[in-house]
Amino acid sequence: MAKRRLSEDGVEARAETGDIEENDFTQFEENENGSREVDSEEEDDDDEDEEDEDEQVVDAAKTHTGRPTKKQKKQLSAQDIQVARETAELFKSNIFKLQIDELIKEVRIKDAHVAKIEKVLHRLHDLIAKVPTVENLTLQQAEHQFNSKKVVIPFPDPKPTKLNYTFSYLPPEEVSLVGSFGLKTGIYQSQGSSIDVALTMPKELFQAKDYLNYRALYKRAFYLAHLAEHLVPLTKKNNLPVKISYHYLNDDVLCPVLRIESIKTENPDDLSFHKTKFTINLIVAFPFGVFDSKKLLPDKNSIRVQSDADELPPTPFYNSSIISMSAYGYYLKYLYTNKKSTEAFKDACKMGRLWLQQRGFGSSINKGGFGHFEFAILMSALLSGGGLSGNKTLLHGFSSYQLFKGLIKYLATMDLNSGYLSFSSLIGENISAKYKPEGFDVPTIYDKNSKLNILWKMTQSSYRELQFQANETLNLLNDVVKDRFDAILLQKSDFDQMRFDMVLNLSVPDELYDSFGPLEKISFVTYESYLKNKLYKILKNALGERATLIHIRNEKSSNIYPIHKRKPTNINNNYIIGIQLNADECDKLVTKGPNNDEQELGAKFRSFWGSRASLRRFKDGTIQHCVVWTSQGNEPIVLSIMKYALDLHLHPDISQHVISESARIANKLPTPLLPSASNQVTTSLASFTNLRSAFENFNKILTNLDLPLGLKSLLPASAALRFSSLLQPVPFATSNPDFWNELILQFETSTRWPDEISALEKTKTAFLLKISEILNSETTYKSFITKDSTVTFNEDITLLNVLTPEGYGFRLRVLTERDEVLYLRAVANADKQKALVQDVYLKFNRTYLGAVKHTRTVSQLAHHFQYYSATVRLFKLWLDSQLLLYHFSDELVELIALKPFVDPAPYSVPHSVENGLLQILHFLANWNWKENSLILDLVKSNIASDEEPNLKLSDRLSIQSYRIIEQNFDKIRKSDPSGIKSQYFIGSKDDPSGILWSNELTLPIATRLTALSRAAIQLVKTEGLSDKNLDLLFTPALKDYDFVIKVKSANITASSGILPANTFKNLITPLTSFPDDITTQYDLIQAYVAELNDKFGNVIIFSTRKFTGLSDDSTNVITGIFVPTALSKKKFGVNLGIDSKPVEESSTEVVINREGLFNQITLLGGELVQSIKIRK
Amino acid sequence: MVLATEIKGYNVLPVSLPKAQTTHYIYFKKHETRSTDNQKNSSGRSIFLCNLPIGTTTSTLKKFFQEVAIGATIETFVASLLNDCPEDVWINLTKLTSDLEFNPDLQSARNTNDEAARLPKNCGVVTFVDKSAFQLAYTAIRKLSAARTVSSWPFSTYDSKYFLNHYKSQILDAEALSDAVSQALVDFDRAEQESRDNLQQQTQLVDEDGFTLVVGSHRKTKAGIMGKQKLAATVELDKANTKLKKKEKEDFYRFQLRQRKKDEMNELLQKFKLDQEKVRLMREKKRFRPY
Repeated sequence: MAKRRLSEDGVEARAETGDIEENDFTQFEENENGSREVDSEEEDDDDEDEEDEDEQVVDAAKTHTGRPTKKQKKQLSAQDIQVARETAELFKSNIFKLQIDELIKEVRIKDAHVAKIEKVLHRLHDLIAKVPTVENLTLQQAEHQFNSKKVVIPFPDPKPTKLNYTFSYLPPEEVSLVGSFGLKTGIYQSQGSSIDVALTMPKELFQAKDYLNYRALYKRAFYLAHLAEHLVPLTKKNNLPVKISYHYLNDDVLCPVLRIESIKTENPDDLSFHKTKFTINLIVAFPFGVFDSKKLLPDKNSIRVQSDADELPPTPFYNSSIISMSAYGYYLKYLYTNKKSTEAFKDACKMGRLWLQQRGFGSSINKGGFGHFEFAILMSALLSGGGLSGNKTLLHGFSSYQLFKGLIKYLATMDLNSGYLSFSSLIGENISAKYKPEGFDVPTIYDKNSKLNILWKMTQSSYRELQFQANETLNLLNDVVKDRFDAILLQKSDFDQMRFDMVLNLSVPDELYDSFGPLEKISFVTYESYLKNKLYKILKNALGERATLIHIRNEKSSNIYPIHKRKPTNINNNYIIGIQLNADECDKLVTKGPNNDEQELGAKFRSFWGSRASLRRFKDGTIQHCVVWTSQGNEPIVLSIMKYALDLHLHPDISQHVISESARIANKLPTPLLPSASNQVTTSLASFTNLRSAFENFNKILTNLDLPLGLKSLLPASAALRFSSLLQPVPFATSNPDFWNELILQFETSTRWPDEISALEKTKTAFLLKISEILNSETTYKSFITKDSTVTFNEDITLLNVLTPEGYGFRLRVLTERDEVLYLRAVANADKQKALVQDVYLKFNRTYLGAVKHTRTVSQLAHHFQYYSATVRLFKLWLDSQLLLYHFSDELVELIALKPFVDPAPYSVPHSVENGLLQILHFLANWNWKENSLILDLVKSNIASDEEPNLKLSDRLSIQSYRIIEQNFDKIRKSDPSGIKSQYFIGSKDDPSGILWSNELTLPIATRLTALSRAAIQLVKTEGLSDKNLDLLFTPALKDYDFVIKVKSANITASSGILPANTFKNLITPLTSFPDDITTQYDLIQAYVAELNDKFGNVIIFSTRKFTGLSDDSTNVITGIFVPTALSKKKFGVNLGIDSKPVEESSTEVVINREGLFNQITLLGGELVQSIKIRK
Repeated sequence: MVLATEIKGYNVLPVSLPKAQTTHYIYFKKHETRSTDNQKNSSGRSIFLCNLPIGTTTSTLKKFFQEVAIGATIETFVASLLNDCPEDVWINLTKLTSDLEFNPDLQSARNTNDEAARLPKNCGVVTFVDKSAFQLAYTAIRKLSAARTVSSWPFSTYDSKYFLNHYKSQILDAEALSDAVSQALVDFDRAEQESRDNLQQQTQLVDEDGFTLVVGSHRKTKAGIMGKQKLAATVELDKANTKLKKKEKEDFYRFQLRQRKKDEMNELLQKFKLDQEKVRLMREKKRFRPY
């Protein structure tokens, strides 16, 4: 308690003492040991505080309660009971605050590291002072200064040949620490971080016109090379073993800097800092204001080239680069002032930095051009305004959480692309920042004072991405029910395959470089930016509404190169294109253009689409330009469109170079044996809808039957009826394990149901017999009655099986209002066997009540999330291929598969099968089910409805029900902390108990699923999704089992409704009728496994593929793992239930008779068994 | 290899299964029942067999005893219900949901069923027609056991037809089913009627305090009434309590207000402490590692 408060007070203390420590940030030579001392003082302070606190704690309970956090203190001191009552909301931000504190502590840079690096910086500073001066060299002289094998001047392209000015090196005007380390907003990063040190070139080296035609940059390049040449021997001499290389700061090729990396040596005198993982960037800067910033506005041209055009295009990138090179120190001062005036600025910056990093954003161009620097500047700007009328968005007194949320909200809601934010970085004068709705169609935050667009490294595409991420995060921050800290700050979410619905690899042919002319060169500076821009424009135009995000990135841009090279040699021509799809639009077959009468737009449309554009008359009478696409085999339409557009506008056969590995994953789904199958899109639910309408028809017929007791309802309860069965329902496909669709039949309320379970079931049977009789005699439906053993120990249950004329099968179960009462009575009466009877009740609840609710919920969601059905089917296929589906109930699998759809954070709702599957696997791989429950809010939209007034009307989980589910989980874990009895806890509104569907799972199976998903994700992350890996993903690891039985049965692929692989469709006749004896088409292997389970299930865990029909040669495997406890020696007793043999020379002990067991297993299989392989 | 021939009073009978190199071991013992209620006392004529190979039926045993002890005629064989069920114990749901006494005609059938339900997995009781048959069989297998002679076991053969029949057997014949159902319902009605009659008799009885039992028209068994009474008592109590609460004013006295504020703050504090605890636990689990 006291400790917690302490950190609060600690912040204040630090803020006070901090003045001394931080004032000298520009001249670190003075700061010798200062900061160390301050730090230790601080700690002393803390200790004293702690003691004080302890006394106060004893004093009074009231102040005690008031202390915990800032928020609480205020509220309680004001005695604002009303606010205090909203504990739920407070609770969340409370724990959020605590978590932030923890996190900030965790990412703090170690004091020892800081001390070390300060020592290094001092030494480096001294060395820089020793670099000799050199003046007025011509280009030739300058080049001859250096041994070209050791140091080369990093001139930017184009390399100068003849110049009429000279190069010099004079000691830097100022050497200062800039960037986050200087600002003390740096955080510890596992991959190491860099410290920026700016060396400002003296003013006298420049002329006013030097901003033109790279002149300043050439001078800077010489300065840098000179520095490098002298630092190499100097560092060596002075016990600072380092490696120096050139490095493009933030991927900006105009701005090479010196990157200093520590080398590990044996010499104890050497000052080595490689353990701190820091690198130092020596940035050569221009003095602030040396060039007229008005001439460097984004719409001005500063590179003069010969051209036929009347006016040269503007060079915004070059201009911004020049300005930013002169403003390192300037912006540091600006940020520092803001940090001083806003207490939580530092922490908010750290949060922002983490947030960006986890999402793959950074200041460098290839990372989107929005990093912590841009974040900090935006925050400072918003502290002085940001609204339309300059009204303040953030206040100085805000907590770090509020600052962070405010900024995220600003990013999410204000469009900085169509409009822009204008602010002034002039310190001291309070000029408010204003949002201007009319912008330049480039992402802009404009600094009036320095004339710099802070977002100059961003592109439209990266800006859209940032905005999208901010939006998602804002929704998470608004979520009052669940603690979202994890998804917001702790989880890394930059894995392409999960971030985007479709990922393409594009290798650009070299010929394309020819289109990069001199005018393009000056406006885009690099070929990469030019190409990215072009790709984005083409794709954006081609995809239109179909895509919500288009991300384009150079695969590996090398920005570090040795100092004896002018520029990096290996140029990577591979681009990664990530697309996030709009599920409503992406599968449409027609791209609609403008109306026929709009001449101008029409011409534009035609010129873009070329020969494929056509005029069409639509049903509503309009005549529109449009392009019609045909789905080609298994290629998604979006991919066809992109290939076509790129071919047309970029390069004639570039589509050969477009590789989309992940799109192939959807082809794994079995093709149904239906005439319409070949041109079916993945999201099509047509076959399911047919089944659904067959059900509606049957329902109508049944309701009209003349029965002694009227029907109340007939409700669907099967996987196929909720669009999620592995195989699509195909008429007459009786070998499909999901052929029979369960329906729950309820009669009108009656008091006359018998008050005993067996008689009750008998009465139900009587009703079913009656229905069956009528159906068989009066309708085209065929029906018969079967036994059912779903509910153990209740052997009197019967089901009515109905074969419909459409070719589907329904299985009717009768539910009465008495059932539950009786089962519950059995639970109450069972004293010793309570647990067992409870399981019986659970089974009843599952099959009769839970399945109906589940079917209702899932079928609604499957309609809303277009890709859910295909994803869950693929997931089931994966599970089956790993022999796991056999152990999971359909419902459990479907709930797990729903997770990325209803709660995808930190990723977003998947709009493609591969994304969906990977997200499911990713979740399973990381789900620590021993400690965490999975609570699903099974509603359609995942947008937090916190501003909606009708919160009570929404069907989202309320905080109360969420809490109840959580408590259920806590209760279960309290009695079973290591998850031996119940593993997966999946709570939802339909099932607050959380174990309805996962109760029958066993520990080894639950663990195996986790292990397998981990392996799968690992494989995909490290090696990608090549065809080989994809096959590997769907191959079971058989060597993990104690024994493997190979079995073979009659071929049931076609009768399962699957189009066999490698066959011509016209050779396979579709199914048109039921066989005379339907049982002949059942899968015998499943019966074998069921029998094995009945007989040896207490000793061995059997696994098999549930869908024998999916294998090419109608083989299957049955694997077994011995239950570990069964293998040990045991005292003999008749209750053992294990096939045992006596142990040598012992009259009481027996041991499992393994060979005997295998014998019996093989005998039981008869001719189904091909071979049995036993692990030694 | 010297294996024991007797374990905890059970004799070990090694048998071999077809096409197998290894031996299967059956444990057996004279079957003794507490012969109190059993009219057709089978005690002294039965053998208890444990760890039977799968699929052991009466015909299997008949064949076996024909081989090893000709003339030992088997009367019945009761196998455990658990043989075809992965559970460890059998539960009779009827008994747990109703306390109706069923027709004595059905009693015997139910008895065997009860016995089958009580037997542990892979066990069975074989009963011979008379004592001499039993004696013959028993001595024969004891001899085999003592000599450690491996005799072959007439294992029922399995093939795909077996599994096909298994599927087929799930489909019930409508007529037979209909007969069975109506018979069962008649029995049930009769049992219910008897129970009701019994109950009615009790209403005539006057106990020593001069009370009689009151029975509602829908009441069927005595236990039902008891259950109901328990429930009624709690329901009444709840009602009374809520009534009392409704009358109470909670914001009348100042101390009530103060108390409430205090409670609320305490609650807040408690929650805060819980949060801290939660975060502490998270920290211990190294949850705050962003990389």
